[in-house]
Amino acid sequence: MKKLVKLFKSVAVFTLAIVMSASLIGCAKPENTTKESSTKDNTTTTPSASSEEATAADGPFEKYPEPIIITSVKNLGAGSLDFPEGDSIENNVWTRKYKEDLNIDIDLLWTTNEQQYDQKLNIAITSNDLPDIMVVKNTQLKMMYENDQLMDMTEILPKYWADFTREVLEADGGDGLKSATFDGKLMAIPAVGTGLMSCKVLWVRTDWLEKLGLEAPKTVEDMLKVSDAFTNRDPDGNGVKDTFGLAVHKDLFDGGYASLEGFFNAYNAYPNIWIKKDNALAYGTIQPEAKTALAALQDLYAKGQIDPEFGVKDANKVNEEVGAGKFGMFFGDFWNMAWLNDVKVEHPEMEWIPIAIPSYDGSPAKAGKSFGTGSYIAINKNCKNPEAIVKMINLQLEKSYGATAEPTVYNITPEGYGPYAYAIPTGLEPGMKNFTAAEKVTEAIKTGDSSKLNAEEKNYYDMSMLAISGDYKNNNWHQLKMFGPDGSLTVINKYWADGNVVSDAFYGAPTETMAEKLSTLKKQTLTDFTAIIMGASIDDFDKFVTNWGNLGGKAMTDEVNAWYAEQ
Amino acid sequence: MKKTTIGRKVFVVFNYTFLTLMALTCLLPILNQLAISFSSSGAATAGEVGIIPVNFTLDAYKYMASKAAFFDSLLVSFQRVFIAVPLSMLVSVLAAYALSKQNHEFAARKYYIWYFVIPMMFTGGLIPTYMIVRNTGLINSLGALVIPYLVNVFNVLLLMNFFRSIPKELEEAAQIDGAGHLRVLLSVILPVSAPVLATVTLFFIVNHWNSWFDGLIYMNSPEKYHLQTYLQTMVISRDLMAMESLRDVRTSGTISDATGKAAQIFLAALPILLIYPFLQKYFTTGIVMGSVKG
Repeated sequence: MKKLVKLFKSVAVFTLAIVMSASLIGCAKPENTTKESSTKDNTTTTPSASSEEATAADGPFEKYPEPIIITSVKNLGAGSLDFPEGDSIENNVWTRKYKEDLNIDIDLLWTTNEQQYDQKLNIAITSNDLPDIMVVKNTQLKMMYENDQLMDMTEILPKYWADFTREVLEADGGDGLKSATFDGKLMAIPAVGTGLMSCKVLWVRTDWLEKLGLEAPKTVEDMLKVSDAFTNRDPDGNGVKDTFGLAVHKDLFDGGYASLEGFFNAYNAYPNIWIKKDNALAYGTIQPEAKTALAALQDLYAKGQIDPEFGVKDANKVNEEVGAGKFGMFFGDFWNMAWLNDVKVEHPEMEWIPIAIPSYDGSPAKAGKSFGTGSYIAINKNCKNPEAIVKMINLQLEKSYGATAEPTVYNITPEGYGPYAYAIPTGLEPGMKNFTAAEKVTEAIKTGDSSKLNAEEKNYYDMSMLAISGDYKNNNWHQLKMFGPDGSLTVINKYWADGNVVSDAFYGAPTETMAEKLSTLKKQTLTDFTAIIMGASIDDFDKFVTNWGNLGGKAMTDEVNAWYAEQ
Repeated sequence: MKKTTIGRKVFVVFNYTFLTLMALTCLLPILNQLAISFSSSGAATAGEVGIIPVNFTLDAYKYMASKAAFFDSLLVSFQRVFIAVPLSMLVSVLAAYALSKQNHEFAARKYYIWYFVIPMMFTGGLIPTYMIVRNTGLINSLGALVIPYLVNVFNVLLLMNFFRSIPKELEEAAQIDGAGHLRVLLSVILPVSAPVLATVTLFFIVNHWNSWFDGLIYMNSPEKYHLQTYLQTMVISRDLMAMESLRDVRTSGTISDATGKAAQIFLAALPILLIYPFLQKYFTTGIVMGSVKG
């Protein structure tokens, strides 16, 4: 018996040793296998002979003689992606087009929804498990550059881009391309946008205005009067003082719904963007104009025109209360009515209009505009055919928006499918497209002639017309509020046309201090601004500015100005 | 007869009030979701729904019934639970049984205990775990959701402690009758361990049912997500800054879909709600009491 116990002892110790060492080996091993498998993948995907041939005969739309495979990952958007009968994410109009016109096969390594795309991509970047091509955010791009995971596109892009692609990519004067340039090398293709979409408008409830015999506000003074009336003159007519003038959510800025950027813009303050001041760049949040705006907000709060509980309500909660008829005015993005469309269906008497930010000093207010390019098309350093990606982009832009475009096939079909979302990479579009659409739709509604509209615009037009005839559901009303006469896009387009826009002057990749401190600084801003609005001394603003500089704001400003000096 | 003093009465009243309030704080959110799922979309968006549905409608459930993705992921969830829980129980019980032996019976026991406890406090971290799962070829298969979770050290310790609390005499009696370790485990230990087995089974079920992040990182397409990962896509509040393109607005109709969300949350919670009463009867103690005489 004793012997048995002894034997058992030694066996047990031995197995333990094995298990432990196995786990140690396990830690070291994966690295090697990754490298092996990734190099193996690359050699199998692209026979080197064909890529040499391909570079021999070349044009922006040149078809590869041998099929090549491009791997990618895909963001499916917020909901599920719908396909016409028989099609799928692997087989649809775009994948067939890539095959037919360029001889490119698409291999999707993974797909996921919008909400989870960033997390999954971060894991892929950190574990170096990357496809040939992927859409990334600027912070991810910077991380990939530091990890040396990006293909240098400096020579490849100009060699292969079609004229129309060039036009789209340079539409913002080349700022987008500059923002993707690191140490003089172009490391990604920017999905160039205009940034105009971030300009704010003032949404006002017109049925309340009418009831109280008021005009839509043009100046800050008017706005404050309307706010006072909406609070104290019982606009919903229920005999109870349960309404407020201005809706604000707990984060004050960002989110685009009931946020305060527009309010600050009215006072010529530009929070969260970099403005040009005395030949240098300065942060808008800490300028003296912001103090004036804060004082005004404090006053509104003291008079009960801002919800005393705003500090705990996020944008979704505020939206519920706007829907319940507690607020008649808020600053926000062009799309805000999307969130109220269901309420409009149930309460058709509710009506809103978007108006330009009111002016403070007689001259029209200028709207703050963030830098438009938020995402980039990153190409893996190990991709064997980087020019294929440029060709795919050429094809996508040309077939969707170019001279030979077939938008009903490749952009939005008459049945309501959105093939634009099937394209690889997704996200490229001419920046001003929506404003052009708004102009044309407005014109068509006025004249009744919809013949000049393309398929996408026709869709907006049809929905707007249904809304005009009283059928608000399925987002019809919301489309009318964007594209229709005096819609939000028209208001924003007017800022641009009249030059009443203040653009974010910094568009480089986040600087070192910015990456490290910006979120802390934003938190500090939120805490201090909230305290001031809720009644702390307005002179605390000066303390906040000093504090902001000491917490890293000064270092950040220096870095940003060093960047500015290089431009 | 118990004496009921005034102090006792006051205590009972307060006790019951307090416990009722606690129960309500747990119950009300569930009732609220249920009510929202039966209400019209407009009322739900405007926040008019309390615990009684406004404008009663079954639209949300009809919509759900037409959604294949929900049922696909429900199926994945059931597969995961039915495969993972028995396997986990098997592995955990075997480990716990060995570890429950005395030091003189199992010499290396304390080293094994350390081997188990260390990873309980220090994990490998997200990326190394992900790379192991990827390099072992489990990625995009059900295995990735089952194998890494087979051993839950906390549950093993729970089982172990219960096994150790069982009177030694029971086991010795079996051994005298010629039972080996397997026989002791199956015929003596397990039958008197129903409470802890029920508890640990429930822990495993709830863990597997409720986890979502693993599905997100290990699965390569949304069809393979299990229910909670799928729900996370539906319910998470969107990054509003990303709404700067009109294309996003096209899909934003789904945002105000508060009723659909509520219906899905409720349906996802239902299986776990149903399991509790069935396991409840095992949560009784004192089974081994009186099994050893004098």
